[in-house]
Amino acid sequence: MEIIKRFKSYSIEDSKHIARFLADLLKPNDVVLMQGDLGSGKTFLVKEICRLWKTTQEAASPSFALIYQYDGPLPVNHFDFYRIEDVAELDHLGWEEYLEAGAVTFIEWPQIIENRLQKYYKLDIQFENDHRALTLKHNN
Amino acid sequence: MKVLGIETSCDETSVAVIEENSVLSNIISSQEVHAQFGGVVPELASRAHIRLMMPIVKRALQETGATITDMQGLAVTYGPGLVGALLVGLNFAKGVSQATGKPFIGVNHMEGHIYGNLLSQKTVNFPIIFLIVSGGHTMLVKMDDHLKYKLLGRTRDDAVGEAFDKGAKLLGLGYPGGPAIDRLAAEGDPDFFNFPRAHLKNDPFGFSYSGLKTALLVYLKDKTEAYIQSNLNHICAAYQQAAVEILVKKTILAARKFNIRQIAIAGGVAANSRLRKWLSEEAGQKNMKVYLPEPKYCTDNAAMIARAGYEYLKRGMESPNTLNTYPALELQSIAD
Repeated sequence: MEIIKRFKSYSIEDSKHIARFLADLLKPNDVVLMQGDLGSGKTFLVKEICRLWKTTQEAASPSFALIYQYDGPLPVNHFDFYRIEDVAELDHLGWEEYLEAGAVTFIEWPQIIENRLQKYYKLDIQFENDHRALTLKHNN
Repeated sequence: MKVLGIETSCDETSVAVIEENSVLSNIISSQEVHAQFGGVVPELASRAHIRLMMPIVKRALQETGATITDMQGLAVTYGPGLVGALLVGLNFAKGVSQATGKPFIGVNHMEGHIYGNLLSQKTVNFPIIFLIVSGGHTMLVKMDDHLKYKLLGRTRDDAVGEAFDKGAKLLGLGYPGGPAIDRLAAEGDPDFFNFPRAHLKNDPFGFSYSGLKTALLVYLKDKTEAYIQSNLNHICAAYQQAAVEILVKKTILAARKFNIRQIAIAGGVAANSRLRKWLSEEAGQKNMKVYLPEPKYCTDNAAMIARAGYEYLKRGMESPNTLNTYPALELQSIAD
């Protein structure tokens, strides 16, 4: 995968700048895998991006619901496969049908479906000592 | 008046028969699947709902000695939830309705949780401040009368049940995390550590739980595994204390602001023992009445859907055959 950019976040303000970068970059039908441990700030970034894009609903954690959709000038699909242990559980969810419909799709806990996607961004978030290190990649 | 209830909004396939405020049967797939139908069910597959629907309907009717023709109508969840899962229940209800000429009514899942509480009471007085807390939802609702709701606030990020589940995961406890933390916390010191309580500016009835989860993560980072294990009860107690305190304070605040003397809780987290005890104590001191749901009607079940549906059906209200599913359905009141 090609590395597009590396970021370091020491604060909420830093993370908001990263959200701004992503909000400017992403286009309809883009898919972004958000990979990082519990508490790494995946949902926070999606929430900030949605705020910048002025979606009609505020983004929240879809861990329980699995799929949230937010309307707006640029609609957003927000998936979260935290609870999924076997990829077969997703077969009847129809999540793939959401991907080519003009929205930007963010997928938290995407590990189990990564090999089913053709073209996507991947934002990897790692905890370092006093900051979070983020790496944005693209598989093109 | 007997009502058949159907719930398929998420993981559970559930069918129930109620007669007014009495539950005649309430079958829930996760309790039945292994014993009754064999094998492991992929919990999220709509296919599982399809496969389980008929056996569970039959079982629910059998237990009451009734047939479908004895029902006055059907009640079915039409949102919020997963589209594929909701469609199974809704289409089944429509099919039965068409075949038998019985009316059906679509019920909001959150309204179902509210009626899961009312189902547990002999009588209730309105208005009631309702705290609805589960793995996917955290909201405060003012209920002025049957079927009349006003949303006061909700979570902006994680639901409180999610905070319990993910907190439990960070502590290496099993799923579901709420009961595990509840159990360990009973033996711990809630003041062992002061986890943050999120008070939101300009949103007195809103909630935020993602910060609590992150605070636990930060707290655990420099602790040894041995330290965590030997203080597990205390950490759980302190974590639960922070999560529950916000729920109790905001519920009481809402009751005071609207000068309402009845409060109630609903949803899976309403089974949490600390929440039940604390809210009861606070309400007692302030001379408020608190309605607690029976634990079996806290988690997703069809009896609560049937009970809510009964309120509509007895008023002669029914849904058109064109009713759709709404994954993000908001709690709505009937018109005055």
